[in-house]
Amino acid sequence: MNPPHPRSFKTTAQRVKRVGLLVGLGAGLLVNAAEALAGTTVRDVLIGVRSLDFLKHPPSGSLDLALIYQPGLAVSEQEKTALVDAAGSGIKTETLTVHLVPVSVSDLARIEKFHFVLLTSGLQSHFQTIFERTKGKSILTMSADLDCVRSGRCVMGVVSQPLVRVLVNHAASEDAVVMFDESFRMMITEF
Amino acid sequence: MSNHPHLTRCFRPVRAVTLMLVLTVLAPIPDSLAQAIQYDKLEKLFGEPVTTSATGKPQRASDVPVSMVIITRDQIRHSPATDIPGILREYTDLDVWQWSRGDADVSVRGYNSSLNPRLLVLVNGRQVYVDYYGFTNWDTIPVQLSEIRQIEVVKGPNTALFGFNAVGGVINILTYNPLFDQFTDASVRVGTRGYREVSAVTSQKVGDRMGLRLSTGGYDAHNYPIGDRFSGPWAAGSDPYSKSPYKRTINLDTQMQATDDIVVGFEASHAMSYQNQYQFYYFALPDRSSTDSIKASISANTGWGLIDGQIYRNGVHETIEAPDGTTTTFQNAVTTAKLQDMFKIGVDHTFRIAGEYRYNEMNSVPTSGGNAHYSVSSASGMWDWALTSQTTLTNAVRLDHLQLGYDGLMPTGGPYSARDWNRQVLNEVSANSGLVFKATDIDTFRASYSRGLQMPPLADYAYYQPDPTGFSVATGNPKLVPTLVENYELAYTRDLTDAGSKASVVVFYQTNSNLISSNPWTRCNITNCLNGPFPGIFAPDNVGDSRALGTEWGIDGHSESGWRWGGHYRMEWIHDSLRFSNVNADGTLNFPLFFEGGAPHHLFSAHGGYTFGKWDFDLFGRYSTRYDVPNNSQDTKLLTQFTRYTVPPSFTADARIAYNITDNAWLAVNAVNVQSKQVYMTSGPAIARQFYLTAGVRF
Repeated sequence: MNPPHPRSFKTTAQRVKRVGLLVGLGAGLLVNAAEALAGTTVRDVLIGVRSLDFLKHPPSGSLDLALIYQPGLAVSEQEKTALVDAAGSGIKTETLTVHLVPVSVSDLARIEKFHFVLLTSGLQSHFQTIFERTKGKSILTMSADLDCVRSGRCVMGVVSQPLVRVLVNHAASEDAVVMFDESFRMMITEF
Repeated sequence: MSNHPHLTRCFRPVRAVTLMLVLTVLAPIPDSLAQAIQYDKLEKLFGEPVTTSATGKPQRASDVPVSMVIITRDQIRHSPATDIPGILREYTDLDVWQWSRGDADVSVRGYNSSLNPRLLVLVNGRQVYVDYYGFTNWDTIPVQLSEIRQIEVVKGPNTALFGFNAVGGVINILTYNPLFDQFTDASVRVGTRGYREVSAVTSQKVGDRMGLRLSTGGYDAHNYPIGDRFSGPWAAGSDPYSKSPYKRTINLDTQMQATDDIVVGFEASHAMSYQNQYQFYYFALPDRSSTDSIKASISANTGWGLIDGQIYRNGVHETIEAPDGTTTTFQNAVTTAKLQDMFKIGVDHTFRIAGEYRYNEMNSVPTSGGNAHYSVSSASGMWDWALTSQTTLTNAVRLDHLQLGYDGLMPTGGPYSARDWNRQVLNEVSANSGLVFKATDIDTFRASYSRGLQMPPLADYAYYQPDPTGFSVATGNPKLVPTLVENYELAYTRDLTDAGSKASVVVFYQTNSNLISSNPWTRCNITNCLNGPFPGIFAPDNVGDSRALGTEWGIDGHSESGWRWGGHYRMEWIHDSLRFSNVNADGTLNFPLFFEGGAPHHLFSAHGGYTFGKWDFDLFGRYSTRYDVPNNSQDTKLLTQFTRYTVPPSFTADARIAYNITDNAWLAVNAVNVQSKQVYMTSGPAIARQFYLTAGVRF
């Protein structure tokens, strides 16, 4: 008697998941293409700031957010300048006033003084370094570059257009020792 | 009239609640963290309303696996309507039958009736419909419009989450939470036909760990004129329409942050109303109701997940007056205890497990001395599975075990014995399943199936009226079985972000098995339509099936320049398949169940509004093609003759103009049914045009 074909061991759940993946592939490519065109906007930052209310121990009052950029990299520098200008005297919500503090990738040792870090676009080559410097220190790293989140180097990804999306890499959040409210976790995309 | 001592044992939970409160106050002073759903912050974060009414899990409106409408605070504020049924009529594709001032029946996708028992209405998760028959007396809901955060309307069965009566749909009214929302609101309103209303709400924090919301309000008014078409059995000048309806409500809600991870709540309410209420036999009688409720709740964030528990007791005391001056008093008490745990396993799976116990009892009517009751034990579960980042599959199931009982004076003269009354009625399964596929950030497809159960109202068991002549007896029917409703839906939603709007289309197919005709005064003895040939016996019965096919289209939007707009369209066909003919050759009905004619084939609603400086302008319109409503021949004083009244195609328009004097004070003029002096919405009297002037402050 021949052994069953390995495919027969696949569960129905796996098959459903595979179908879902295939069906979503085309649409997903469209979404990713749109993401690639978008830089970090002040609305993205506002989404990130509002998400801080749903940390296990949410901050309040005034706080500094490290804005990491790469000097000489046009996309990164332009984002940094635009965000700092737009933020003005601070990004305000009902509970928080957040000041953006530019930090160059050449000075990453500084980010350990912050609890919250935002990466500008174009910093792929620094993902690993930033991850290593924030690991285990309860520092929340966030970016509108969702590749950073998908690769597990950033804890949280934020997108404000066309619809708000918040993504959290569960492994990265555990590595960073950053915990979110349970109900919030049920409303976002975790992977 | 009757007053049954068994009802008093339902006050036992009060002692437990008191103990819980004392323990909470004695707890160590906590930080200001809270574990309840923070609707305001979540709504600002995601840019859309959030809800727990679809699956029990907190979700964005765009993620829910069911057909759902969320009426937001802004929409309520801009509505010309002055009550909840009026708001529902303007904003959704619901069927709203307005019988008189304060008396309205609301249904989802047709299947409406007087004292409609197919809609589950909740305030913050506590049922507020009148449980003994399952209908909603909107005037006894202890909520002011100004304290409502949002009204959530789930279309189609959702009994796997909420239990019985959610077969047509669910309306969950969410109020502000005093732990998160602090404000004081007061308003005075006067209107035509002697309308006078006051409303006051305050939601405040008391110290760092306690919030208190207190609201009260009410109105007095004259009823609408009966009109030319309608006359009643009452002598001139003594009909109930000449009496003035009113309502009074008060509600106290306290929320306490017991620890960083635990919130404890306590709520109590009282309401009174007087209205001319259409009974299930399509006959209007003066109705004087008072309701009381007491509720305790707890929410805890634990290592085992989010645990929510609540226990509440609702009491109803209702007296209706017959044309001959005799009265019948209904006393009903329901005590419910629920406990649920919501937790996430890994990153893709969210689960909810829950248990519920309910005890419901009422006195026999109109003959006193008996007491019908049932207890329901339920277990339910929900599994939300993120198949991919774009696809979510949600399944929910619920098992109900119901035990029926009857003590005291037993109905005699009918075919039922004590063994029939005291028995296990059902072990039934409800289910919901939904697949949501987000093809892109703005395109969402949804497919869903739901199986819901409508329990026979307790009144259908408890009715007992022997005929002194011995010719006949009207009795409750302990052999009634629940109505099974199954619903299939496909939906597509597109966010037209650039235009600030959202469009949707839904196709649904619904089957109903074992429909219940509740009216005991049917002509069933003539046609032997009971569960057996029992001439001379009148009783509620399962009378057949029905199915519906329909589609809904909608678009809603707003702009930053101050415009807001929306339009909805519903097309629906209903076909009844009864076990025997209900319609006689002369067009009369054997019993008042006629769903296939009761919903208009086409229903349009539209609204538009604009804010210009300190001025708000809003206009709502609704057009309905004709539909039939059962009609009792009130002229004859008989309850056994039903005809059909065809409500002609009608257009109604409501408008509101408001002037914001300051950021905290405003004046508004509301006009309801502004298009004509009167409009018929039912087989009852016409509803008159109304004008209101309101002055309010909010700070």
